[in-house]
Amino acid sequence: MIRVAAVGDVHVGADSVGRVRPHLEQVAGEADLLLLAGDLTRVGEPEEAAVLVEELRGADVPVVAVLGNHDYHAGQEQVVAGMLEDGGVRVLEGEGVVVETRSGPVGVAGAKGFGGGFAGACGSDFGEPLMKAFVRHTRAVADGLEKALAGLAADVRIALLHYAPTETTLQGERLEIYPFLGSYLLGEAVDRAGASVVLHGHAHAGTEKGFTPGGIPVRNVAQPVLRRPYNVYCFTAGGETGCDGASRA
Amino acid sequence: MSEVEQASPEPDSYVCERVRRALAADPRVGELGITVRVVGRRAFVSGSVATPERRQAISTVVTEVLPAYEVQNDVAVTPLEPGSEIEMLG
Ligand SMILES: [Fe+2]
Ligand SMILES: [Fe+2]
Repeated sequence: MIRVAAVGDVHVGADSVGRVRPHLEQVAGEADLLLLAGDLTRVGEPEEAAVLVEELRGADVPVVAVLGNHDYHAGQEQVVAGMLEDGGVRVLEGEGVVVETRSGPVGVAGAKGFGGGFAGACGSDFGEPLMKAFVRHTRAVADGLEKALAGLAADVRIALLHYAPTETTLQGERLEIYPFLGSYLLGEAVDRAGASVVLHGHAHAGTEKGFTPGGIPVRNVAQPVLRRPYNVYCFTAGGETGCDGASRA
Repeated sequence: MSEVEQASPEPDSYVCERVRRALAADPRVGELGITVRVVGRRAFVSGSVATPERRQAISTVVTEVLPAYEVQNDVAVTPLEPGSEIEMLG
């Protein structure tokens, strides 16, 4: 059995020193891998990334992450990602990695994702250049995710996002902001490529458990939703849970 | 307070959004998910943040943006229960 710990939206700042690390000291006893679903920092300053790297030293398992919109705010996302990589965290954007954990291989395809909304109420590639650019960006990110997922040679394949791939994990958020919280294009990409689960954050007021239209489980692991340091998801190697109906959620 | 303000009071919704913009943009806070409500000369802020320092910074910023308002800070520091939930997915 492979155990995957996941959390997003830890929003680490200079004021977080010593606050995250104590929660991560048990992770090696509970999980084989730790996934971070974006909004790792408060506003994406390198100083904040330095605090995060230091706090993550408490976690004695491989760590894979995607960035979130907060990690882009200061315009230093490349620096932040580089500092995390130097600190031993694999940061994914439109790419996949198979992590050889002590319990077996786990494939992770990661992307920040983007907004746009959900089927029946989403932005269209139409009109002003800015509107087209917005929708095309989400489509490009979704295409990258699909390719990365499809290329993962592992029985357990996880899609790691910041933005939501479905509205089913947004219950509790205001309907008016759904288009800023995620896009159905991300869910469609996952349903096409197949996955064991999709993990995302970003929707602090949403709910943990949902599913894609194709029936793949989706978990919103934003820390304000979990109200725990992280949750742990377990997989028996060899079994895919996707594409067999929404009843699993 | 000023005569200009009395002549054309700013609608509460604009006041709220001015505060929300400041909470997102101010480097001491950087939060998007804070709810702001204004009733008369009182401002109420709610939501949750990761640290007590950030909660305090929200009071500071709202008071700077709305010096004539009484500010009630109902923002919580995200409570973390110990331990994790474990779920079998496959
Ligand atoms: Fe967040
Ligand atoms: Fe976010």
